[in-house]
Amino acid sequence: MTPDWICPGCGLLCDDITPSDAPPTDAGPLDAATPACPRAIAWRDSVTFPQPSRGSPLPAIDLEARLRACADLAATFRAPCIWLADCDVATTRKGLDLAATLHATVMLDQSPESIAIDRIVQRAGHFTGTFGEVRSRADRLILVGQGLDAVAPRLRTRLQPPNESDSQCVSSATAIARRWVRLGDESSSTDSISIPCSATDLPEAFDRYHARLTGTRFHPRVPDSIDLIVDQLANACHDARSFAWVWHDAGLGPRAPEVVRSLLRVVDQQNDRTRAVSIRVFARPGLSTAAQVCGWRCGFNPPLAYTDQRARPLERWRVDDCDGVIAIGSLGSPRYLPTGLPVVHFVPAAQAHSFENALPLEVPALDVAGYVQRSDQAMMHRLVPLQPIQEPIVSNWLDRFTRIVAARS
Amino acid sequence: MLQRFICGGIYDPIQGRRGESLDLWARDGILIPAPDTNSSAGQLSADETIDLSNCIVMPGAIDIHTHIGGGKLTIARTLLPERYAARSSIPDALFPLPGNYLPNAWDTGIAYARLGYTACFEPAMLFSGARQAHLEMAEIPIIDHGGYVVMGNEEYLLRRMQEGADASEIADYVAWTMNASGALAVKVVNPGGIDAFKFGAQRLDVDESHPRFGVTPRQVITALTTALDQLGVPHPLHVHCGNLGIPGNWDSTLRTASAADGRPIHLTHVQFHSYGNEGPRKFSTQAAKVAEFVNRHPNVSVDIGQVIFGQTVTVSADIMHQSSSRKRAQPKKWVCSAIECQSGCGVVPFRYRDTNFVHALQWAIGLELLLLVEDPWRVFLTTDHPNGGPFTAYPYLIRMLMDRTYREEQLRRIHPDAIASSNLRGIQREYTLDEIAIMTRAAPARILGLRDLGHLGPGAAADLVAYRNDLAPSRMFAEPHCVYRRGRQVVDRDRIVATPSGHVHRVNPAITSHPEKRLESYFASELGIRLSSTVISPQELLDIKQGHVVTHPCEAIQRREQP
Repeated sequence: MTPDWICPGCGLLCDDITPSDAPPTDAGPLDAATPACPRAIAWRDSVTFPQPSRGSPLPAIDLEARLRACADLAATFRAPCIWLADCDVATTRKGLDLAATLHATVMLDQSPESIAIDRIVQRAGHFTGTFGEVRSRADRLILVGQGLDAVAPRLRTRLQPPNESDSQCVSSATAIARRWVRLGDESSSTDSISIPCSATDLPEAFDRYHARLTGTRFHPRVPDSIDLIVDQLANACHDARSFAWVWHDAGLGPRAPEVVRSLLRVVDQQNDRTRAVSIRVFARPGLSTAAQVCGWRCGFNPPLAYTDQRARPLERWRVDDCDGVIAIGSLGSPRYLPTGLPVVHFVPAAQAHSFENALPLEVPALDVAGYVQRSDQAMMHRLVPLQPIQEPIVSNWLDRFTRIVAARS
Repeated sequence: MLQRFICGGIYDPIQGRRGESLDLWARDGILIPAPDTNSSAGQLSADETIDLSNCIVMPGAIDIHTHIGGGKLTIARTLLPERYAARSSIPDALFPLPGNYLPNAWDTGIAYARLGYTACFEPAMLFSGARQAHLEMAEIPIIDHGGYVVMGNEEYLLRRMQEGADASEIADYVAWTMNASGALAVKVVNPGGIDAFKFGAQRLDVDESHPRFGVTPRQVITALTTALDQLGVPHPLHVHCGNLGIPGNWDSTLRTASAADGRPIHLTHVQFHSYGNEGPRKFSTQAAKVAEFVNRHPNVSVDIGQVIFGQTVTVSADIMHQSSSRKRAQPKKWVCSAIECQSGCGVVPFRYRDTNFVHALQWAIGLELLLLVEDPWRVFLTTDHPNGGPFTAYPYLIRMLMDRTYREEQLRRIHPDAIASSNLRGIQREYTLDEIAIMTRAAPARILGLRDLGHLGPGAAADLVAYRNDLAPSRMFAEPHCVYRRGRQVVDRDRIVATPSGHVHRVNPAITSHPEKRLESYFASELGIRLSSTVISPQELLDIKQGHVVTHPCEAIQRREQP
């Protein structure tokens, strides 16, 4: 067990979870690693325990035959899509190489709503920051929407002030206490202030609050409930000097793009007299990692299409256009694509039994090293393997597949 | 493999060559002494003979300040997907793709190689983003590269200075940071100002105290220049002065330089820091004063940050400046990010217009500086790509420096009030080929401590650029005849024929008393991350760069040796 291990279970990339030194049990080689976080445990189980069930004997797989079958299947795709999920830097690079070979479209494991949020963020200005900044500086942390605790269970631990008994932020401009504010329809005992608010009310609530900050009139009529939310928000924020608004895509409800647009306007306005940042938390590190690699390699982010010149984004590409998928790093069927498409899977070795056309893929933080991006894009973490590769099976199936399809195309 | 290059006219200032016809010999990509033809060794026959007798030959060019790697570029690329539709508005400039002022990693290397550049350096590598920067730059083909780690705004450093850390402790901290990030040099951006902004400050002048830590920018400059001098790091402190872009900032620029107390200091994109506030528009040129200061102070070097008209995007750690600039963003979108209590990242798209008085005068100021700083060993041609404009405009700039007639033609195209406000018209100087070779090859190699680049003497990498000698000198830089990297041809008349990987250049200054214990505690408690998660070990850097790492020595060296 390595003390330098970093958990890839969610976008926080916690490096303070030390795997246990207890010896492995029959349940699996990593049962001894018991990080106390549901996301870490879920990740561990997904990459180490074969599906459909633990303990039952699994049929042997002829991987060479699988490789040929997968290549044969891929050869039938006229408009292939490379779907990247849970990819580290190396795997993303390989996926992009494969896409260039096949003239394929590349898509990340990103919902249409998340892509819509990207578009909003691309069109607006925004202030943002990293976890270390928030941890050290913010005196108001506002958790917006719902589901953050499930997406990133250790978020509060990562953003907690240095000295728990001293709630004054070391780097704060004023000597006021840090407060956690929950703006949504969930609450926690550790919240200092809880402001019940439905996600569908957030756009108007933020617009109203923005008007209050600028001292302008807000003309659209809103229900009294919105005014109540705004009053509570204003009271919660009035004496703070440094704000962090923390959210994740799926937690903002069906009007997520509007919520983000309105929130970013609030954050922008707050920076006239105070400091404020908007922190978007991703559920897994793979999305921001793959987006980063696509950014520097292609010059733009997915969804994108390859041409021979490598740098022509196809923003009008539609998911319906593809007729076959090569899913890399997936732990399930590719999401957000039409159902019924033929798929070639590259999955953790333990999951290769789960799909008819699946080949093993190395798993960073499990059996190989790898680089992934933290959710706040602060840094690229170097994941170290939890254990050496048990058998020489996983290292090169994607490479071999790429060579075969290149020779055929 | 033994190669023989038959060269028509070599311009190699470090070796003292100004147009001599000479044969160069290289073995396995490294230049070797020419064999003595009278000896048996002189009967050697080359495995490959390359006839460049109709060419002017120079070492590969080196760009000492260009933003080519790091998370800020991905933020900028994500922010501006529409740039592919833009058209270039710059005559004579080369763009690999129309309007692409922010190429991807691959195109960056290709475009630079086509211009005859063989090494380029990222000047703003944040410590927390160093790993990502190295991973990205590893995908830039052909050109060598490296990064300058950004310091001077970390709250750890500012707090330790407030608490009275001595010079030795600061030197150890600087050395540790450089080693842990695989850096070649240290850059400071708006010393103390980025962090002051996070505490609500809108400006921080040279002798103004940080609102929280009470340290002044002058003290930060003094501390860092002292540290680098003590460590023997070849490149001086690379300084992005405070008050960037503010009318009247020339004075604080000179006061910033004086904070080095005679130690070597490099002022970067100094064009943005050479403004007066005279005249009806309260914006004027003070390039003459800044140039005069540089001329009188041999410890000071500058790179220009020349403005190029057209659309671009500004990327900078100086979020104090970028935050105020966001209201002038074109198009109207931007990103400002506070990063790990170390620094920041601001991305603001911008369009420089020749019909805009301020932009036009900025353009003229850059050229004034290039022409008024007398010593070509201490002034460097940059656009601070992409902040002033894309690096692909270099041939256009070189032509203006060498051809006064062409320069005057371009001057006549800008805003008439800017012409009247500028001193450019009165400047007669035209750069010689030797001076261009110094400014773009010899001097960058010297000031960065790159002993194997920037010249064509024995032991140097066989990085050669050949230009056709039937073109006017002022035009030949747009069309290299061929480019060789470590003896391997990479460009053949604008066609890329090979894409080898470049090397990363770094230094490894010695540490007297390791600061890890204190840093571990700080990182864990304040930033919530383990120190070991951030450090790039030498082996890791070798792995990222597939073995192509060059470590340069840190020792007290002459910053300018007489050829």
